[in-house]
Amino acid sequence: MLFHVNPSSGVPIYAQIEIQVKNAIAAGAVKQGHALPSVRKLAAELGINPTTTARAYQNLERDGVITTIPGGGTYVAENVPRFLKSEKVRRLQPYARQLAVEGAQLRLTDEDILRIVQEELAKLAERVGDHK
Amino acid sequence: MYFWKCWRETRVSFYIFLFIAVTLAALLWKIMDSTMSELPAKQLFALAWVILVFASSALAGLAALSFGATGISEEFAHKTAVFLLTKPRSIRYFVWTAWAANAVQFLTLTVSMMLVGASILSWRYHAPLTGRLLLAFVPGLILTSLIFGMTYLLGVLHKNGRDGFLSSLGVVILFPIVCLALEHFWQIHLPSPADMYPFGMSELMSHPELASTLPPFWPLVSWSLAALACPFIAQLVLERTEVQ
Amino acid sequence: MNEPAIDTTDLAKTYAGVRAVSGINLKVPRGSIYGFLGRNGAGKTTTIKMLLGLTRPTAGSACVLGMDARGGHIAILQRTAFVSEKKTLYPSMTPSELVRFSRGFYPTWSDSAVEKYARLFEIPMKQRFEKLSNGNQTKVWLLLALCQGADLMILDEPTSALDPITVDQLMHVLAEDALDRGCTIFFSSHQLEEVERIAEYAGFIDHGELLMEARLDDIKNEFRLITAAGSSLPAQTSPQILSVDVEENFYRYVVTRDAEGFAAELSRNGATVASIATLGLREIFLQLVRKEQ
Repeated sequence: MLFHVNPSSGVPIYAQIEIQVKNAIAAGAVKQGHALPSVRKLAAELGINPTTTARAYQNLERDGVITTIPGGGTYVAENVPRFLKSEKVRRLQPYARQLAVEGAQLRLTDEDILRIVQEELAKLAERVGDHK
Repeated sequence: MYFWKCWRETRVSFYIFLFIAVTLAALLWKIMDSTMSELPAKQLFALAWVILVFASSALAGLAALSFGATGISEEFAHKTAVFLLTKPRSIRYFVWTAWAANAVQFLTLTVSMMLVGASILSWRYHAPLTGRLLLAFVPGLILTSLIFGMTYLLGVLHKNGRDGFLSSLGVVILFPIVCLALEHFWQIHLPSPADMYPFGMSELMSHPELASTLPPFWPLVSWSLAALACPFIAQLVLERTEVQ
Repeated sequence: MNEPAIDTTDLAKTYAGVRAVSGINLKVPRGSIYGFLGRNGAGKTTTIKMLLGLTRPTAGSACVLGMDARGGHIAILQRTAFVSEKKTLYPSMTPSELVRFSRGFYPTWSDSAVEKYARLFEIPMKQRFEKLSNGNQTKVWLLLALCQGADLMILDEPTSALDPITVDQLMHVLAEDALDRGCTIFFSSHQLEEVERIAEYAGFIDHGELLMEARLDDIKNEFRLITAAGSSLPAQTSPQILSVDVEENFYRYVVTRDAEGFAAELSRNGATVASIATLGLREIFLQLVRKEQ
């Protein structure tokens, strides 16, 4: 998969990489077992610090998104449910809070905000369907 | 490493002075031969000796000015001091190593010039080389070493070799004049390297046998110490300087 | 070996009545890459000179690789590689000769690194230094620093004369070096993009004062730019407020943590919070410098 990072963005580089991996998986563009470049190789390609790519990969592995085989490489993981529902809810909360804050700042109604979220979920389902 | 670098930088001067020494020697030889062949050999030898002592001192003096003007002062002139002084050695190391590299070349040149000249004269006029005769060279050696040290120190003070050379030349020219004036007008005798010479050049030319007089001991010692004090003062100055 | 690679305490330098550096407290963790940022004349080079023993501090102290910068400066230089702001070297020596000159000082010197980097950066090794272009002269300095096997690299404007391709290569080399050998890299730069790419920490200096020192990730995750309209809002810096800029009744804050809490507090005091935005180094730099003016 092709990565692109913007070092000047307000989003930390490691987070940008994590988001891109998750997006690609969610959209079905990469499948389980797809090989990812090594920490150093990715750092060299993107012209960034290997500790950044290492951090991104560590986070992704902790989240169960990717797995690393010692001496064998890094791959997109099997979709094993690793977390309890309560844990998943807790993980989603910061994003929900951000959404709520932004929505309130923009003076949108609760219904508008929820509708936007549903639209995004629908688009995602469509893209996954396209790739099948 | 630093010694090697300093050597590299001054070796051209070294060869130039060698060339001048040889040329001068040949010239003097010709002059001695043509103008003074009527005198008896012993007197000729004594005269030639006096000329050798003073001529070699003069050339050595010039060499002293030239070799003293390089070394650590050039680091500041070329703006490489920042590079050099971030190498893991003390300033003392660099000051003395540069001084030593130049001193070795300078002394090799001077001493060999004096010894070779002495040997040639000894051979030419069939006169033995005594210890006393050779001692006549010592004041010149110390004086020129002092000029070398002074030039080195002045180069450091100016942070520029060329300005060191010029200042030192200025001192070499003005100091004797000041001494003579003080002596003549106010009868004040300033301690000077001339104290190392028991007799002046004109006295020696008329009584060349005086050339084998022992030079006075204490002036020799004190002016030698002065020559060594110069790089030491340079070290103290640089240890207290900010590097730009 | 958890002590910082560079740790300064109220380091200060005054030249003829001008305060070039005042009360700097730097903390550079071992093995990290630290970007030292600031405008021209802000005091970066003066600070660096004090770390290397080239200049004596007027006040305060500096501890480099666990050793005092004043007393242990030769021992520090043994393990520290330095690239100067002014890239002058002996004019008549070639890069090969300069390598030969330098390697004698360092038992940790790597000849294989010389070959590798000379080839990578395409340095003409047999050309006299005075005849090299500015870019090549900079590369020679970098070569000598990279091959030294140092534990700490202090680089003053290492990329100023380099083209973008070479800058890229250099950043890559530095990042790998830091990772492989646990070398700490402290470099000053104007080029914020480069710093954002590889630095883990950033410190801002302006008019001789260290205005900010933080992890880059924290800057991206926690620092926020909050603009609000109101009256009698907080207008002083604090641990949470890095800078505040007031124009009539518009306030612009750079907060270092809990941006939402802060915004909520402002709202409670009757202010209208217009936006909460993330910040890159450029925006922080401009905000901090603007605040000074």
